Amino acid sequence: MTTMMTAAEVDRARTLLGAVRDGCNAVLLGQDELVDLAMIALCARGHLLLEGLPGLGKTELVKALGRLLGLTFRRVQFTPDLLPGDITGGPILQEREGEKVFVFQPGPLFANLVLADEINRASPKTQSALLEAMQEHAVTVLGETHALPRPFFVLATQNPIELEGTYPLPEAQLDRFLFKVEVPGVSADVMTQILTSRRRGQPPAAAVALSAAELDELFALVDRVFLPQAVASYVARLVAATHPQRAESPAEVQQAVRYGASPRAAIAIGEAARAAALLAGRPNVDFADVQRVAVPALAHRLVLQHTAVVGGTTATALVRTLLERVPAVGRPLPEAVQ
Amino acid sequence: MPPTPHTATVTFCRRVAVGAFAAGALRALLVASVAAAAVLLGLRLFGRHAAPQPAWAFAAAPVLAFGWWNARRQRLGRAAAAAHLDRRLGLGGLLICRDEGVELDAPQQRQLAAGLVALPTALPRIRWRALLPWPAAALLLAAGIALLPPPPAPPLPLSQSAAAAELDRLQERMRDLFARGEVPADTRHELERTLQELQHELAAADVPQWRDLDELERRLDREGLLQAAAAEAPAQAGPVSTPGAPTDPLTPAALAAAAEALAAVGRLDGLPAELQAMLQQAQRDGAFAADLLPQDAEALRRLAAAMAAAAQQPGALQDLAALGGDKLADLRDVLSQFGGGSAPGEGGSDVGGEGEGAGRGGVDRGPGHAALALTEAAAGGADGAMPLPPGQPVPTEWVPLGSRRIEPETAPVANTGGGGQGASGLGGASWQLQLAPRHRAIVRRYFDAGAPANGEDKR
Repeated sequence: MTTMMTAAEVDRARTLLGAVRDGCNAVLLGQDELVDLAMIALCARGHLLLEGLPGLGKTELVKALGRLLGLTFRRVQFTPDLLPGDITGGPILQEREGEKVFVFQPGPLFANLVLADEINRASPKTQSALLEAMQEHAVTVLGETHALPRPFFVLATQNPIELEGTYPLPEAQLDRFLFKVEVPGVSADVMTQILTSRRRGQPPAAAVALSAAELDELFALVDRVFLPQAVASYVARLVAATHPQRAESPAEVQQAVRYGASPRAAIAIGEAARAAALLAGRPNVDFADVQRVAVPALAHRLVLQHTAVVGGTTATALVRTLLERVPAVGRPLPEAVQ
Repeated sequence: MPPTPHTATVTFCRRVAVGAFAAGALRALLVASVAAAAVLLGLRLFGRHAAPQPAWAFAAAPVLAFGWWNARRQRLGRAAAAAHLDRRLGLGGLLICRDEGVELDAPQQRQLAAGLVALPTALPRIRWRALLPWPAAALLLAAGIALLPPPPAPPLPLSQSAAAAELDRLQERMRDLFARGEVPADTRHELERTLQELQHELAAADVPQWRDLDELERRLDREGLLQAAAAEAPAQAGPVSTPGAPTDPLTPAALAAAAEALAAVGRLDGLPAELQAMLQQAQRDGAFAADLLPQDAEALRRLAAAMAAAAQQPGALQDLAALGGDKLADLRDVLSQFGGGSAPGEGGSDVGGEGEGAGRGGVDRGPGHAALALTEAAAGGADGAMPLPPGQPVPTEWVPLGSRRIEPETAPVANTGGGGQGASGLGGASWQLQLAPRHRAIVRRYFDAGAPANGEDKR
């Protein structure tokens, strides 16, 4: 018989997560939901794509996470002339013991936390260099594969308005991101608080909240969160409903979606839901956890029809429609009862 | 004491099953009620009635069966029930995990038990307001139609045994009729054929109608009366001409005697002036002399025809009957040769030409003509229409509203004496006219439209 993680373990996980979350909230004011999603992505060991206007604190969030977790942190500013070798590293001719040999010099990807700032400004060639790193946690240069340090997170940002000279991420690369989060603006109260509490916008210096061992412990606890069969079925039905050729797909999806989400999306939702459950203090995944992570995990995986895009339909709205239409329990109650 | 997760899940499943059963049964009840109402209504429209019977309770069997089938079809599995109940109670997936066999620690079990306390409020409620109205309305409709008073019963059909008894009786009567006296061969054959047809119909398990039996009996009555009248006629009035038999030639003496008889009852005034002058010249000493009458046959025939017509005037026969004796016998001789009194058929005379008077090929209703008896006064008679029984379709032809035995109002006269020169009427005697009710007014108008311009009565 499977044993559920105990309440004490849940409390321990909440404590660990709370420390990181409080530190992030102290750095990034008024972005609680964004911080939570970043924490969920971190616990699920997924990569995060942040999309928002400049100045909303995307880079600051990533930097804060790096400091709070005590991880090595690198920032790469993606530009059109950035080459793959610039981020993966490459062999350098060196003289050792009287012989000249090529020695691999690791690039900025060799860090626990990599901030790929304005990732859509790099050429597709450079973007694709991230594919192996994000999926395999390894880099291959000149036929030699180099493992990336663990944990390895890529937090990328992109600007949705400056599209001149940018290269939109291909679907294959988008699929590697666990979440794509649209960073919202902040309210006037939050801006007032920022103005009064910070000089020149400098956030308070964040101390390390989790050690490497504690981070490993947190990951182990996340892995112990139980995903019930009923909830897994809900995730599967949700992802299946994104495919327009499926009968159970809502009419809106059938009209607007060209390609639905892949099984990787279901895996991402399941993993993210485990982290969300732990963040909510539950030893198991509930339907609510799935619904919480469904939008950031699914929206960027849907390929919409051109007519739908022109008509103003957004993937986020479609996922919300899916959440309304797909029943949480596979076998709904008869109409005779309520 | 909160229920265990297993108990809570089973209770939830049971409640859902009850709801599904109720929904299925009520849906079946709706269909069955509508069907029953339609059938009962259809039976009503076709004049039939199905009275409620205890056996109708068996109709509940398919209703319950459908409810049971629906409950099985929509049966909720334990996992689905646990998921529904977990969501309704806000247990955060603990009940689902427990149902899937995950072992919970003590605090989690306490949390689960605390949540299950509110089980009664989380159980699904059956939507009676949505389920009940239509089936209840349909059931009330069917019950209302079933409880309507039955329509008036149609006339009972003739039973097999009664028809057999009646046919035996008619056969006996026919045998007596044939044994009592002479019956024309064609009439005899027709009666026997009719009887045989009825017997065959009865043998084929097809019960004959009362109407046919009554018709046969009526014909037997008529033939009996005709037989009796034929037997009485020779005794009172000498030889009677029979169809096809040669008749005695007219003699001036017979005509003179007949004129005496008509004069005695004052019926000579209706004769044409020419004939009246002829008779005036033939008078001697206040009586008609045979030798003073014209001796040519044509003149005598015209005179005889005119006297026969006069004798047929309304009331003339009654007046003549009062005379009795030889005068009446002489007159009967004349009348018998010119269709007076008992000539049958309309225009059935063999006399050529289309004359005006009886016996000359004109319209002659014959001596068998009787007053147009419209039977007894009754609803639906000639004086007024009677509505058809409810539920009866409007007949295209005519429909017997009833069949009763009544005595004819007019004494029949023997179907003797054909048209002129021994030619008898070919039509059957019409001592009793059978008319459909809707035709009676037309016939009455035809005959009562007023006397013809020349004063001749059509009758």
